[in-house]
Formats: sequence, C-alpha cells, structure tokens
Amino acid sequence: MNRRLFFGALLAGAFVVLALLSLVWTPHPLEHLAIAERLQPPNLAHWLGTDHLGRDVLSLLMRGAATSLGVAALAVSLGALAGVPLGLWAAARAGWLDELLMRGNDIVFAFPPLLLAVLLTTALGPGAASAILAVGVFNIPVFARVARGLALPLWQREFVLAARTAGKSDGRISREHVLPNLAGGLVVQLSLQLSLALLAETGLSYIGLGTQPPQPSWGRMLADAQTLTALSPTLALFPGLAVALAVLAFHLLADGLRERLDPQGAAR
Amino acid sequence: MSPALTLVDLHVELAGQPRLHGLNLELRAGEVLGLVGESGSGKSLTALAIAGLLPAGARTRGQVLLDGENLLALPEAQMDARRGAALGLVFQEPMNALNPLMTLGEQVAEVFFLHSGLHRPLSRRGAVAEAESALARVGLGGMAGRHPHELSGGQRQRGVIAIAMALRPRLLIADEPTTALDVRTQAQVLALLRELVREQGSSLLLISHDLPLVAGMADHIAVLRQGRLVEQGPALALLREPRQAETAALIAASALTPRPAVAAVSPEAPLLAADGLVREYRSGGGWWGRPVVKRVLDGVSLHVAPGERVGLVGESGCGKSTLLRTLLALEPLQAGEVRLQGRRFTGAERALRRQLQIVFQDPAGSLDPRWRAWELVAEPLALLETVPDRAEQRRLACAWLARVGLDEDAAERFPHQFSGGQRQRLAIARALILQPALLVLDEAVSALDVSVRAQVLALIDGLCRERGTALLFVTHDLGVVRAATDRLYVMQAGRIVESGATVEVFERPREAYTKELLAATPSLEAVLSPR
Repeated sequence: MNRRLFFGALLAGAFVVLALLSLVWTPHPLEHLAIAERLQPPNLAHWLGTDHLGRDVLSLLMRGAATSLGVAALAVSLGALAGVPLGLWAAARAGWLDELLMRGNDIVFAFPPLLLAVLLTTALGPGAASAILAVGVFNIPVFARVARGLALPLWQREFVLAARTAGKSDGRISREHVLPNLAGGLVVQLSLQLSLALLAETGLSYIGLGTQPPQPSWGRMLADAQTLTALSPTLALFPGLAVALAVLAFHLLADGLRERLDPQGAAR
Repeated sequence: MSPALTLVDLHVELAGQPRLHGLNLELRAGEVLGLVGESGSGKSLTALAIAGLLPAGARTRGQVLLDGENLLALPEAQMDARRGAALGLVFQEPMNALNPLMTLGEQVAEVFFLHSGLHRPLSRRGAVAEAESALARVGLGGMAGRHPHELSGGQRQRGVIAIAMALRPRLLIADEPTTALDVRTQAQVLALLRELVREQGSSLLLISHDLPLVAGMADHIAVLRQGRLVEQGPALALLREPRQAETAALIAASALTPRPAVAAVSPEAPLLAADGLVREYRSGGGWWGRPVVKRVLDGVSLHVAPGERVGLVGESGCGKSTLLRTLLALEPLQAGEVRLQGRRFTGAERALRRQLQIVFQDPAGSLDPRWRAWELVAEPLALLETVPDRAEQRRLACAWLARVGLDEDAAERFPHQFSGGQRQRLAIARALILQPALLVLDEAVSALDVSVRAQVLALIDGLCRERGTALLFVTHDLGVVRAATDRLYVMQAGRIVESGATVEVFERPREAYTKELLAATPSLEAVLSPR
C-alpha cells in the first residue's frame, strides 16, 4: 500500500464515519439553540466552539459532512451511471454516433460548470435535489469521456476480437469484457470527481443555492461565519479546514489508487 | 587469438532470485559468438551484465573481462566511458533505442561528442562530419537529417548499429537485433553486421532465440538454459554433433520437418472462398476535406477446401491481418465477398460463424485477463442455437482443457497464471470447442519458444486431423508454413502474388518476391549441408 493511498483512505474513511455517525448521534443536539452560549471559542464542552446561535460547531460539521458527502456521492453516481454507458456505447459504435455523443460532450464541457449549476438550481429552485442534479449533469461528460478513452484501446485488443468471433453483440462485449477491464480507471476517476463535486456542493450552498437551512452544510456554515470573522475567527476556520481536508482526502485517494492500479507503478 | 571477452563464473541475482549460475564464456577477437536459448534462459541478462546495465538491486559475482579488464569492478563513471567506445550495444526494438526528437545524425554525433575526450578533442562540427561517415558505413548516407519516424524499421536498426559501431568498439553486443524486422530486412541487417565486424576486426556477441539465424552468423555457439551454460563449441561441430541432449532437442525443434506432399484437393466445393476482397482505410480530411485513402487489400481472392491446410505468408504490413479480419467479418469490405460453405458470410449468420474460428498471435492479449480459463474456453458456446447452462458449459470447457493437455485444476485459473504455451493451448481449446470447419491461425506460434512451438503445432495437427478441420495458417515464418501446410499463398502489398502447392512454391518459386523471401529465411539445412 503506498503512502498516498493509505492517508487518503484514512482521511476519507474518517469523514465518512463521522458523517454516518452524525445521522444517529452528535455531541450536542443540532436543534438546541442557546443564544447565551453563542460565539464561544473552543472549550471543553464545545471542542470547536459555538456559532452565532449557540449551536455546537463540531456537531454542525459532522452533520454538514453527511450533507456535503451525500450530495457529492449522489451527484457523482448520477454522472457515472449515465456517463459510463454513454462512453461505452460511443466506443463500441465508432463513427457518427461516437462523433455525435462526443460533440454533445464538448458542448456541455464548453460551459463553466459552476455557472451553469447556478443557472440550473435557480431554475429548479434551491435545495439538495437541485444541487445533486446540477453537479451530476456536469459529471456525465467527464465519465463518458473517460470510459470512451479507456474502452477504445480495449476494442482493438485480441480478446475483444475473439469475443466478436464468438458472435457476441457489442453491448454484451462492453458489459462482459470492456467494463471489467476499465473498472480500475473508473474508480480513480470516481474518487477524483467526488472531491470536485464536494467542492461544487460547498460552493452552491455557500451562495445559498444548495442545501437549505436548517439543514447544516459546510458551505452554509462558511457563509454564516463570513460576517462574524472579526468576532470569532475560528468559526470560519473549521468548516474551511473540513472542506480542504475532505477534498485533499479524495485527491490523495485518487492518486494513490492510480499508482496502485497502474502496472508500471506497481513495478517501481 | 587472444580472447576479447571472457566471462568467468558469472553469477547474477535479481531481486534475491539467482538468474545466472556461474557462466563461463569466451569470445575471441574478430569472432562471432552466438548465444542461443529459450525465453528465461538468461541470454539478455548476460548482455546487460556485460554492459553494466542490470536493473537496480541486481547483484553480480564473478568476472567480466574485456581485454583483460574486469568490467564488474569498474566504477560507473569509467563504465560510461567504456560503453560506446569499447563496447557497442544493439537491442531488439530500434524505435525504443532512438530518441524520437533528435535526427539520426545528431544521435550518432552525440556518441563522438560524448567520447571526444577519450578519442581526440572534437568540435560539434567535427562530430557531425564523423556522424555522416558513420551513417554512410551502414548504408544510410544522406539520411543524417531524418528523424526516427521518417525511417523504416530496417533503417532504424541500421541507425542503431551506426551508433553502436561509431567508435569502432572492440566488442559489439547485439541482443535479438532483427527479431522485430521482416526476413528480407533481417538478411540485410545481418549482412551489415557481419561486414562491419569483419572490416573493423571487432568481436560480435549475437544473442537470439533463433538457432537457424545464429547458425548462419556465428563462429562459435553457446547454448543457455535456465541461467546455465549447456554447451559451447564451434558452430558447425555443435550443430552436427551436439554433446548435450538439450542442445539436440533445441536443434530438433528449430528444424521443423517439411510436411510430405499430398495430392491436391479438388477445389470444386470450397469451404471458404474469398473473391476480389478490397479493404480501404480512410484517414484525415476532417469533416469536409478529402480523406487519404489507403488500399490495404487490393482484390484478394483465395479459397480453402474442406480439410485442407493452407498457408498465407507475407511480411508485416502486407495486409495479412486485415485479410483475416475481413474473412472473419470483423471488418467491413469495400468490394468483394466471402463465401463459407457456399453461402455468403457477412458476420450476421451465426450458423456460418460457428464454422470459422481463430487463434491469435499473442496468447496473453487474446485472453481477457479477468476471465477464468474455463469461461474463456466456453465463450464461443454463446453462438449455439440453444446455449447450454453454466454447468454444462463448464463441463464442455473442462473436457476441451483436457484435450489440449491442461489438467483439471487449470479451469479456475486466470490467464496470467499460465505459461505462454499453455495460454496458446487455452486459445486453441476456445477456437475448437464449437468444432468449426475452418480454424484460422494468425501467427499462432510466432510468439512461442521453439520447443513449445513444436508441441503446439503437433497439438493443432492432431486435433484437426480427428475432425478433418481445415486450417488457414497466416504467418511470416516460412518454416512453419512448410511444416504445416499443403498449399500456399504469398502476399505482398495487399495482393496475392503467388500461390501453389507448398512443396512446389518452396522448390520452384516463380515470383522474384517469393525467391527473395526464401533466400532471406535463415535455415539450418542450408548451414549444415556441405557446400
């Protein structure tokens, strides 16, 4: 196991565990508003302090992780579930269909994703579902392109030719031979996209288009903390750190996986 | 003559594994020593050990004496000075040995420049002039300004040789120098090596898996097996009277017995008939421009009778592989048609597809690395009208695994857990499980060691004889064609240039191209027959 993979998996795993834990237990109840205890610096009762409504920052961060990771994971799944079959289809049917799908991809790629996500969520109304859809749509061409790129050389391999002489259809070959052989590359991409989706979700909820209050999210917490930086600087620090660490975790994971799955990397 | 190169009790360990076990070799000045052996015998490792290019973590023991100086004891900086100046190296793949961003002339000049201190002080311009003449010596005069991609495979290898011989080293090590080349190019490159060595009085260590090739070049031959020297001696004596059983086996496997002539099968009801096949590739041009059209098959016609064994030979790039793919309906045709059992075959006819199966060249590439052996063998069963259930598929696959000589526990293993020969057996089992009327072999034994090649050829022969399966051997290896086929097509640049009974074509070739091919093919017979 290489170092990047180890630390990436450790950090990402910690976030996932905290997020899942927050669904059943948080150090302090989230609904508990205590204006008297607001804007406390980190102390023994509240390890990371309290916000302007007296809520426990650690509890908020944990539940925020659940929100952010959940939205990111669903958005990436949406992108992968739609994008990978499209990419496989394009690779199997070289020619005009491939051309059409890939030029369609180019069009989606041509838009700045966050800007269009803003447009989409404005049109659909803000909320977690819109954020998932918006971020997910922009993941489709990424996965389509990666799947196609990995699948094309596989279609030239002799084992695929052998499967064709065994009379198998393109769809069946894609499913039985191509997909399993590009799974490694897709896992790397999944991890990388997860970190980007996480960042996109935070951005959307920061400008108020993602998850809506009272549901806590990291972006929301950053936005709230912004006006209070002079009073309580740690309030912005912790959600910012959480975002940075989570993105780093999935990047490390992707890098580590790439190194692990690359046969030449393994030889080193 | 004094020895130029002596290996004394050379041991090499890689990652803790002993790979060479006390090798003693002697190469005299001005001589050619052929080092032969199958894959894994330690041939290339020996070359790397002499050149001091073993991978990191390798450990050596013993001595490599070049003109009395132990190279193993030299520090890296001094070894650098020896490489190029005292010993030249030529490896198998010329494309990898050349820098794609530098012209040939620059790469040769670099050698002069790097070693100019040793030799004599040299300006860049002087180095370029030297490079020109070094290139002229290998027949590449005027090519100094070209980049590697502008050269043919043979020219590239000449360029590598020019670099290796630029400083007229005492010793040239050539590791499979012609394995990536066509036979005619191979003959030219070998002739060049022979000439340069003689002219400059250098010694040549020629490493190859190809005994006939080495036999035609070497004064002495050393046979390696699993990191040990089996036998060493003067070439002719060693080939005529091998002292070791392993040497004898290698010689026997290298010289395939020609197949006895059989009466021609009447071509009235051909099993496979291809008529006027044309395949073109279009490239470039974008959406609107005029694409470049390359005609790879230019009206190819051939036929195979039921039970017949037909060979198709040609050099790389002649269109053999494309022809095969069009026969198997894996690629579209621009003109012409393929008929199987009298009916037109376009790929959609499942009943016809069952009659036509293929074994590819690279057994590692033709087996999906993520599938188990029995699943791979059972794959074509999907072509049956009623596909058997999984248990039945497994039973059938296991029966075929046994028939190709693989034991029962092979069924659950993955391709990487088999040797090259075993993998090709898997591929053969897969091709035969439907009991096709025609088995196509695309260079199916080219990647195998000679001893394994003989076994696999015997296996194919036996299995196909049982059912009267017809065979279409596609290969660049004339020895294989002669040993395994009755009739022969010779292909050049997308056309069939000659066809006829194999014996006829070998003994009385009509076309100049066929004659050239035959003359260029190294043959043990030719070396051993008294001239």
